[in-house]
Amino acid sequence: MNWKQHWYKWIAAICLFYVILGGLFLPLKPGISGLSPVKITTGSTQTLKINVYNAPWLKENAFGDQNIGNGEFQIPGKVILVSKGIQGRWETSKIKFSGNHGQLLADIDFTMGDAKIPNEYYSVFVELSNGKYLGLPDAIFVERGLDDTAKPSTFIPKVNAAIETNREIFEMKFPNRMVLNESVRNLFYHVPMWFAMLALLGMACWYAVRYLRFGQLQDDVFADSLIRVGILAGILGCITGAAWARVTWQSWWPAADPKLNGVAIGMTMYLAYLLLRSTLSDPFQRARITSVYSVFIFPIFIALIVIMPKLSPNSLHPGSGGTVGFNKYDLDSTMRLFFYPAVIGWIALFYWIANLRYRIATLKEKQLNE
Amino acid sequence: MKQTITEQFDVNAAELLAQHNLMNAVYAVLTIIFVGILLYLFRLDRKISKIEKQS
Repeated sequence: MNWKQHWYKWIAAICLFYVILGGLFLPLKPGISGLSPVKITTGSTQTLKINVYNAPWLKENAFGDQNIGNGEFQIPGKVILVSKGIQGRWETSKIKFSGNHGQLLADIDFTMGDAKIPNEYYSVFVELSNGKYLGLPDAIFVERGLDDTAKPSTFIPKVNAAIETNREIFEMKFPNRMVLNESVRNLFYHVPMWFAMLALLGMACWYAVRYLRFGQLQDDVFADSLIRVGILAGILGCITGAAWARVTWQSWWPAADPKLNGVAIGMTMYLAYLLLRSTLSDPFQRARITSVYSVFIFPIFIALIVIMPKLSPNSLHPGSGGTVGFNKYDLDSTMRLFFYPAVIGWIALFYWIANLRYRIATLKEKQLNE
Repeated sequence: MKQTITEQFDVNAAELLAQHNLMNAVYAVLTIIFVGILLYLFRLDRKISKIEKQS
């Protein structure tokens, strides 16, 4: 076997095997999947209901003599609310846990009294006495109640709030995000479709330039194959994105998102390429015109799906406008271990398919010339 | 005491969580990708058959 010719096929096979197995079977980190209420008006004791996910050790952690019955436990630990902008915290050790419901109840006494505390978003942490903890960033809004002036403040000032937020320990588990939940794994399957499409269309642009420069017809045939398989990746990206958006953004096609509109226009331009190509019969004329066209539309396509959404203030996609990008806490170190191989693997697979299509087209051409 | 605590928990929190874990979205996405790629491979296969017939 000629390794020099086949290396990217092996890369595709190995990367995708690793990514699909790992992406499906690695568990999510334990986390907080829901919280109510999300807005607190101070002045009284309030009960936070915290839904926990993938945290079987909460049950093990509960002491036997504090078993209240019905699968409910008194838990030795603390629920802590910290905010980035404020030195200090709200906290309580009155926590109960129900294994049957997967829910924590924490009674916190919220009184500001005469202390000067701004209204602010707080991150919620459940810290157990054995060192394990669960967290949910910027989850709850605490504002001063109108009649909250009489009692002394229960806010604990001058505690370093940064200690809790920096305690992410590396585990071979995927992050647990609100809304996304288990579907965070789609990052390895939906997103690389677009990376593959961009890579293939970019290569097609390169081969189109090569055709215009050297006039070799096989460069044009290869560019055509790359574009067709690139469009296949784009269509798959659209459909998988719609399926994912249905369960997370509650809509098949959130039309306000500039990335989706950009993709719709960009895909139309490439479908027009196919149309243009099918109307021309002379191979050299067809090659010249479609090469010029594809060199033209590639930068426009990049502008539509990469640059425009970044400039827009209201895209739902990460990395654009006000939403968080890959480089912040959206993509943690375990995700990276799978995301980069996924991108490489899917690009290699689609390149392989494009290569097959190119060889078939070349065979056909040879047959026509005979 | 026992009774009051039980009532405080949301009755269907665990079931809600099980329904909304969104693992189905991952299976759906993988299925779509594989079906899409397979359909394209079948198309290529048909093209090869045509060439084989002509030669």
